[in-house]
Amino acid sequence: MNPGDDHRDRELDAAWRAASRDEPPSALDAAIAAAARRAVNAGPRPAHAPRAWWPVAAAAVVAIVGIGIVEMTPPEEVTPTAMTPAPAPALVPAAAPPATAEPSPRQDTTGSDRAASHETRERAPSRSTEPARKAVRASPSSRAGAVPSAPEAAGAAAKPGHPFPALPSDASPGTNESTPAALSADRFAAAPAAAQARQEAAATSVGASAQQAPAPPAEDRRKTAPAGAAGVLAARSEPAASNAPAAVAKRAQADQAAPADTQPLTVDAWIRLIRRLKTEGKNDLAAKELAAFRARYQERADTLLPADLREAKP
Amino acid sequence: MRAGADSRDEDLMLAYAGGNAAAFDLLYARHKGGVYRYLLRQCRDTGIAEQLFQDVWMNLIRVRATYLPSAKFATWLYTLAHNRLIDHHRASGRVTLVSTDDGTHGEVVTSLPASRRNEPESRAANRELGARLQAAVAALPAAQRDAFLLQQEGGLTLEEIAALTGVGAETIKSRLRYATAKLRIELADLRGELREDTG
Repeated sequence: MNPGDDHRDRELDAAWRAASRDEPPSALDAAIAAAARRAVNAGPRPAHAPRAWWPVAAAAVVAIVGIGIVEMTPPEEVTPTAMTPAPAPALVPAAAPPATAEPSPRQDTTGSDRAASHETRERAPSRSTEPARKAVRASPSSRAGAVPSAPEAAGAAAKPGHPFPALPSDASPGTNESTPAALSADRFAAAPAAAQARQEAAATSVGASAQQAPAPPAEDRRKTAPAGAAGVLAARSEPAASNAPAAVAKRAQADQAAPADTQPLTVDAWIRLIRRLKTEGKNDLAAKELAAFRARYQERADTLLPADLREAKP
Repeated sequence: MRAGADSRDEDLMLAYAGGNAAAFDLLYARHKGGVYRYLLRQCRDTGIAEQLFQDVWMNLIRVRATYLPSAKFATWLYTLAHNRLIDHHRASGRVTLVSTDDGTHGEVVTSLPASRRNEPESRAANRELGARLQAAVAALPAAQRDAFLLQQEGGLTLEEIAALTGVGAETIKSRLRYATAKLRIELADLRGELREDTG
């Protein structure tokens, strides 16, 4: 008995123990004991149950990561042909002749479609095949035929002597002026016209004032003004820079230089040129220049020419 | 952990929490009667007592992993039973565990049946010692009965009862003193029978 239990009555305690002997029913005992065993037996299961899901969870994680990698991979690495923007190479056949040493397998439309489909299936049996095929079919350039895709063109450009150089991808489709061949053709076509206009202007100015020297003939001016043609050729050799600011500035410089070179020579300058040619021993050129001078000024040529050149006959 | 008949309650409970079902059987055999009687004397209904008894043990099974042997197992077990009983009283709308600690408390608690000492029929019916004693305990104020039953059925000390009920040890001592005094009065005419039974 505890020290604080001095109030206890032993007789009362004994009487209570004798009187209070109630016990729970045996069915209740069995139920509680069964529940206790179930709890113990079922206890370890939750600890092991998740392990059964580990392989499934691991497989799911691997699948998700794989799908994520495929999704994050740049599409051109998966299907290089299929994901190429189609309009870019549409400019090539318009500017360049299709003459080529290698026969193009895409010369006809249906054949190219079939070849593209077959090629796409072989290269990328992924789900991007169908959109790629649709992109090829939807492209007007592919319907026009004879249009290699940009990677093919780039690959062809890597081959020596291929007629289609790789084009910059930002070339604006449908604008022939921006293509190098069209640009050079325009410039070649515009050069004689400009010379003709300049010649006419010079003739009128000479007619108005006899003090101003007449412009030389157009053929001669073309000879004496090679810088403009060189500028055009330079522009032709730089197709990719046709839209660049540097190229535009270079073209502007060439346009400014051309009138200066093709400016009609004054009488004195022309005479100095003839004398210099003679001095340098270029008698043929000097004779040609002298003949041109005489053809230009005709009756007044003898009055304008100095005495040493006046006697010289072409 | 090995569970034997001589093992302490705390060790048996730890063994059961570790998965030893036999330890639970030993614990249950030791304490099932006391807990059942504690509940039965408090609610005085066999059906309710059995339901509360099952709830207490199922609760013990459920929270076995949280048991810490910092206190005596019996204290922890009767705390579960005490709390379950309070929940039952609250749910039934009866508040019986009123505090009657001061010496001026009334003899009659409204939630308890009146003493049947003066009822001839009851006297005749409770001739048997056990029945008289149980009736006397049932007639006690709830707080005194609770302390008495925790002491008698649970074997708890004053301090343990005080810790379980959340009141001071002196209060528990007072409650037990009042309860004992009342039982002696109730059973005064049977003191000879008591001596014969216990002697």
